[in-house]
Amino acid sequence: MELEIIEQHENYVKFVLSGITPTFANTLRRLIMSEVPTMAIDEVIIIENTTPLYDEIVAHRLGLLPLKTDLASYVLPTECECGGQGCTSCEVSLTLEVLGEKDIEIVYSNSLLSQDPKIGPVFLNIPILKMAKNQKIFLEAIARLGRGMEHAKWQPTSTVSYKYYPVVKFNEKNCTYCGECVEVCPRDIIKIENGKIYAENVINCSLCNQCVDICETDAVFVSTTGTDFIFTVESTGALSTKDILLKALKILNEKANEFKVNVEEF
Amino acid sequence: MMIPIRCYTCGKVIAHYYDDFLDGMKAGKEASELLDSFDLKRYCCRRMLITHVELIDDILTFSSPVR
Amino acid sequence: MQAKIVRKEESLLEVEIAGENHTFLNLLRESLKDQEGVLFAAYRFPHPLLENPIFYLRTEGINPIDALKIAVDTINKHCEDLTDLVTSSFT
Repeated sequence: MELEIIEQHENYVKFVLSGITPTFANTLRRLIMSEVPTMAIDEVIIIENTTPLYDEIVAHRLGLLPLKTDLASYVLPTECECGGQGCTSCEVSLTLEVLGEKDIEIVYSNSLLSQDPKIGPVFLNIPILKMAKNQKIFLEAIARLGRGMEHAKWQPTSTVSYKYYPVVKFNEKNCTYCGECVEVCPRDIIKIENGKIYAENVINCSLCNQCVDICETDAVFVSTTGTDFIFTVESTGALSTKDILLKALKILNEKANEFKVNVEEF
Repeated sequence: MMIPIRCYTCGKVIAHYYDDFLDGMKAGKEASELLDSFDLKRYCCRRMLITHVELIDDILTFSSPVR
Repeated sequence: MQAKIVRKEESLLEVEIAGENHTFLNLLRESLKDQEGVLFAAYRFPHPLLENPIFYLRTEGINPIDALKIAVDTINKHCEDLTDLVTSSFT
């Protein structure tokens, strides 16, 4: 098993994972999407809302805000000692209180005040709602940990994807160097230079097979290695991409251990 | 009504780009340039900003202020 | 996760696994499939919402329970390998 990082920014990572099976790649994807817990607003207590937006719309928008998550100090309500009733180790309360002072007042996510400074909106300039002069919003929001399998707001990533590592080969005996494959390639990876045909930046290949289809002399071959995968993980900002991967693997490890304990009792 | 917080299709957070997008458009920049500068690569996220109509601004003028 | 035996014979095992889905079961199936002495490994959902998945395992020459333990160890090893890789290569 080998891992090579191709591109890494804040909240985005692209890496090649070699020497694994397609099943393992898919398991990793599924774990990240539906099992890694993150914090999201789950319950909204509206005390006063005289804005033109209905309570439900405000609550829905609040739920979708990604919140910075601290997995070390919070647990899932179902696994909490309080039995899911709500205590400081499974819940965080956030409040929002704004009175419209301008003709059009935009309430941004930075007005949401958190009880715990470690938990709070990832982006501070998301417009939550708009109100006219003298209108008021006053609410309390309760954020909890949850899993992507229950609601997409708890997914730690917007997209996780993988594709097979492409292999592009040429049969130089058959090749007439007509250049049609160069022209048809949507990712511009095939090059003809000084009477030689070759592929560069193969990682960009989308395996569309257009070059294979257009070649009349069967000189182009596109395949995959079958054991190497290009992963893209795009975090919402709630957790770092590293934490997401480590947590996913930890969950898998726990699942396997739990199963082993069960099997040993058979 | 208001700019959706996330992309309908992929779930990427896009609402925090909206103010910059509007300012850029008012300054006469190309929509494609702006979207590229936000690093919105997929067309699902790009259409969220391009096609959005902020209807709430019209509704606000008819909503009654509180005494 | 709660696993209980539905049927057990010398070379056949049928286990009902509550609270799991394709995420874990498909990996378990794959890891058994590559193992020597395993003739058949598969799982099914009798009903996608109402019933728990059932895992079938048929072996030759080895005890199916031992086969399961080896499979779990393989999964754990992959897991630890990748954890080390992620810790060392991510910034």
